[in-house]
Order: sequence, then structure tokens, then C-alpha cells
Amino acid sequence: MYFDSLQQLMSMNGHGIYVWSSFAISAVVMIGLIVKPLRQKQAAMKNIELQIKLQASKQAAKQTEVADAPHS
Amino acid sequence: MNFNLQWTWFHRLGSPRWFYQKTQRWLPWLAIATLALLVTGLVWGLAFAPPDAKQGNSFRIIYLHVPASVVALAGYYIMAISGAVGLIWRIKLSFMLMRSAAPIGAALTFIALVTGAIWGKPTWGAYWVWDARITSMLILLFLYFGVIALRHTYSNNEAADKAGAVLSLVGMVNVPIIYKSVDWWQTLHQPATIKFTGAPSMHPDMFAPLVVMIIGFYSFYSLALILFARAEILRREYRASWVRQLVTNQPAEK
Repeated sequence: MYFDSLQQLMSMNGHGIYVWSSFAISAVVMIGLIVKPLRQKQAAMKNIELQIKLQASKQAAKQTEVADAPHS
Repeated sequence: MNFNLQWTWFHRLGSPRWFYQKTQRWLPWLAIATLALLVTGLVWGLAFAPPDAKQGNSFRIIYLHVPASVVALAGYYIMAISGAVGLIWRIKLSFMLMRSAAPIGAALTFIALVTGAIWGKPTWGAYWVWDARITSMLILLFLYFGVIALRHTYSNNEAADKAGAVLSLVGMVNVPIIYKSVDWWQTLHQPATIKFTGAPSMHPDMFAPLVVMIIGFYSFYSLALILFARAEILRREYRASWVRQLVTNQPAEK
């Protein structure tokens, strides 16, 4: 390692604040770029699941309606 | 006849289903490679590389600033070319990739601008200057924002796709301007560290971790692009039977 101690690595002769804040901001943004699409995918899947359930219950209601209807 | 046969691969490549299934297997490997490259490059660059003779340790910001900028620019070409392919051949997947590229490009441009501003403080004495390179980079950010915003202005997906593609293509003019801005105008921004012709203006001990970081950012970009595109596919292909099967087979996927 170029630095003698962890403390020196953190301070970087006074430049640590610039280097480490750059690092922190980049890390937060990049983690966000991975988390966001994963959440979007989950939301999309839930949405589709809900639609399928809704369709199934509608169909079931229709069928019972037909079954209950008096035969003429 | 023969012509049709040869073009089937092209259409399969444009199938969202094919893309979704293929990328499933790539994702874990791409994630591991990205993490390994970024960790190696950062530890090497931030802790082991020697400091710059003039700038001291603040120069280490280069290991985030340059890769983010390089990939933000390359990502603009990816977005614009995807838009063009979508317009010309009417391939839906191509438009999905274009839409996915916009938020990633915007985020990377943001990183480039913010790290640049932070680097400017100890080096130039100011966070922000209205210099050609920085201003043209800010325009790039607004172009990315424009493509993101366009999707919300149309209720019709196809119209939004076309408008986004046209905006991306028009905005492509800005990219060579960014590249050349440090040569064309007198600027505070230092000239390119890496040149296509000739040796890099950097010591190998400093240059090697930068190369690792640039490859790492490209790898990260592909990973994020695939993740965004997969979410986009599910959102837009919700009527397709293969998507419905996917959902009912594994409803608890988290």
C-alpha cells in the first residue's frame, strides 16, 4: 500500500474528504442503478399476477352465473 | 427466399422472450465480474497507486471520474443506435434497450459531473466553471433527461419510442463536441489522459488501475442495461403468454 496507515489512507494529506466523498456519491448512485430495475421487475411481476387472479375470478363468476341461470 | 432465411437470426435477436431467457444465465457471471473488477480497480487506484506529482492525492478521483465519463458517452451512442435500429427495422426490443439506456446514462453523467466538481475544488479552486467540456457534459445530462421525460409525455408506447429515438439521434451531435471540447477551446479541463493514438500521458502504475476501472464500468453498464431491459420487457409484454407462464410458475420470485 502507498499509505503507511489506515488513518493516512482516510485523510490522504487533506484530500481524503474530496476522494472519499466522490467515492461515496458514486457508490450510492451505482447501487441505485442495480436496485431500481430489480424493484421495477418485482412490481411488474406483482402487477401481472394480480391481473391473472382478477381474470380468473371474473371467469369463475361468469361460470357460476351460467350454472345458476334457470334452464329455459 | 435465401434472404429470408438469413434474416431469421436477426429477428430472433429482436425477440424480447429470447433476450429475457438468454440474459438470465449471463446475469450471475456478469455481476461477479463487475464486482471483482470494480473492487480490484478501486483498491488498487485509491490505496496502492502513487499520488500525482502536482495534484497529490486528489488525482485519485480520476478512477471514478474518467470511467464514468467514458461510459456515459459510449452509453449515449448505445442509446441512439438502439433508437435508430428500432426506427429502421421496427424492433420492439431495440426501443426497450434505448429506454433502459437513458436512466443509466443520466446517472453516469451525473457521477462524472459531481466527481469532476469535487475534483475541481482542490485542483482549480472552484467547484464549477462554465468551461466547454463541463458545459457540453451538462447538455448530455439534459439530453438523457429529455429521453427519460419523453416516455411520460405520451400515453402511447410506440409514439414515445419514436420520439425518444429521434431526440437521441439529434442529440448525438453533442457527443463528438464533448470529445473534442478540450482541443477546440481554451479550457481549464485537462486534455484527454487516454489517446487512441500514442502512449497515455500517465505512468503505468497509475494507468493500469484506470484501465481496470474502465473495463469494470463497461461491465457494470452491461449489467445495469440488462436489468433495466428485463424489467421493461415484463412491463410491456405483460399480455404475452410466456410472461404469464413465467409469473404463475414462480410467483414468489424475490
